[in-house]
Amino acid sequence: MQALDVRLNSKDESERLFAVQDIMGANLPDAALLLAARLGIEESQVVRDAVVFSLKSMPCSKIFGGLFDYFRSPDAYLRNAAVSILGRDGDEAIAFLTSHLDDADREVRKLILDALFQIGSQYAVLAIRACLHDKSPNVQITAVEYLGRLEDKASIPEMLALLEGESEPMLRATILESLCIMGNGVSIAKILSILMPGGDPSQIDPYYLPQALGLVARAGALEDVYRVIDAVQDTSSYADDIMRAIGQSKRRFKESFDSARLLDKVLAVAGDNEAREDVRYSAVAHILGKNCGSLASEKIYALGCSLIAEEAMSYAGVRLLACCDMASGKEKISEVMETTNDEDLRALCLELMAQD
Amino acid sequence: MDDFESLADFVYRRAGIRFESKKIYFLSKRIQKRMEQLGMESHSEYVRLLRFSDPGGVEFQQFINLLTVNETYFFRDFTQLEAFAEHCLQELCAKKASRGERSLKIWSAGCSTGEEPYTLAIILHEMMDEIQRWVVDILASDIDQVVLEKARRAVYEARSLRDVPAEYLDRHFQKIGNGSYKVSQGITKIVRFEHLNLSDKDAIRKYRGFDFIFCRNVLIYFDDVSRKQLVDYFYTALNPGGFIFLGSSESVGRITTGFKLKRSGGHLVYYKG
Repeated sequence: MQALDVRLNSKDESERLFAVQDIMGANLPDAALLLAARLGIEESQVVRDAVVFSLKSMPCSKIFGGLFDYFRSPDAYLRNAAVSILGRDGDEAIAFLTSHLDDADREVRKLILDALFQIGSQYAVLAIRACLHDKSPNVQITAVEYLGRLEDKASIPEMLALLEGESEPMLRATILESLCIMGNGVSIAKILSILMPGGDPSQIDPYYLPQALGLVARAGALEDVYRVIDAVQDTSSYADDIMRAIGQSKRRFKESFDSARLLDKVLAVAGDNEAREDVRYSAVAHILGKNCGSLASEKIYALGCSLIAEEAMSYAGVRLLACCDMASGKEKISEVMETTNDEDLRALCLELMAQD
Repeated sequence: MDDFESLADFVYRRAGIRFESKKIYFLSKRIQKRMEQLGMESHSEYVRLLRFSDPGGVEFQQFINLLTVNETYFFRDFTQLEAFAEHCLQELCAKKASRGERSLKIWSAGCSTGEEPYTLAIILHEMMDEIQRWVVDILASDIDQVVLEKARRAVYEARSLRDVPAEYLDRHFQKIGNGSYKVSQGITKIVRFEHLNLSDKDAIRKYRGFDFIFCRNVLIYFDDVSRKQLVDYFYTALNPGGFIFLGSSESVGRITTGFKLKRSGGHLVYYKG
């Protein structure tokens, strides 16, 4: 043991690295003590990395205190290392970690949560749940996020109470995101009643719209989906959220989903040159589907004309013109064929004209 | 199943090669083949032979030869070799030359039948200015004696040469009939082959002073602990500033944070800082 300690503190980097490997293989009772002490002073990254790897593979209950001290280190590597080692020690570390949840430093309390999240057991979840009522919003937000990722449905009532009682926007948004992850089992009616007092979807604070859209699409009733999407005024800012919510609702409700009811919103997204291209293509695909007949030909034609003028959207534009069922649509496609330098686009135009 | 686990554990402790239960079919087919050669009828009989009647490890070596897959070819993973040839090698040679150093050491760990170390030797010949003024040493190691023998013969079928640029084929190979080619002496003389078990820590710790280490598509045989230790050995074996190349599906960064990452001519490469 002493010889290993000497090698572990050798000036030669390779010797220290080999000492770490030998300590790991030797299964010594006090190995963790030696390694944890070295970790704090080691300067070589490869040796530090090997020390952490070794500590993760051995029982560390004797060094919990030493590791906890690293939570206050200015060195992020040491802080993260301590979290990952404690996080690997399972339920044995939980009692130790929870006994420090009243630490005065909120950053330390957040690191405790990181370790508890890594452990992820039933007892760890109970400890994380206790932090929903931490005095620091940052710690609360971390607890909410982890409970969501661990899908702790038992914490839903407490989260709803927080959503109702707290005003901190980040905390409320994180609660909504976690509830969205948990999906089934979440009372959408209750959430909507908190977000839109009086039942008016236009009352939803725009800050929470992405989460509200995600929630109704994931777990809401069909009518809720229509109401919330309809309530979005600023389609430009929420284009991605709208199309994702529509996509998810289509998958959930299949034939029952009447996508024609949301065509105005989709049309706005497709024509919005501030929105991302993939989102706009998804909107066009929605229009081109079985909804093509539900929309006035003039509207499809106008959208097609505006899209062919944009290089990135021209393929979608000619498809719309082909589907608008107007002679002027075909004329436009012929114009594109004659003027474009893009061979693929010309081929698409030919194909669409031939289909007709 | 018990026999399989017992054998898998034995292989792991002796060679660091981990066979998970899902690979039972692969392993049992190969054991079967060997048992047929030895006229044995039960798996447990073969396990006993390995454990108790093979003091020199001769049978174990035969067994390992059967387990390791040796399909490879010249200039495999061209993009990675391009990064080595056009950027890392040039950078390192320039640095060495500016210090008045004229030696270059490369290790091809898990070299199999020799295609990789000979590829590296060809690259050095093609890319280095005045290679004759340099002391070049390419060490090629493998755990499998049979493949090392084949590597030393330096004779290859056309299939192994499918990615060799035509002008290199003309310059560095001789056609010897039956569609086979022999690597020229100018190339073979800078490559030396050694038998090495990458899990033999006493042996591997002695390897030092390399400028480049290639260990491509070998780590897949190792479990997390052995993989980590091996890459740490490579770290100590490299000179400061030296480069390590793993297989394209294997990431150094996921195994250790000890190496530094940099962009070299559009490629990401790991080196010892």
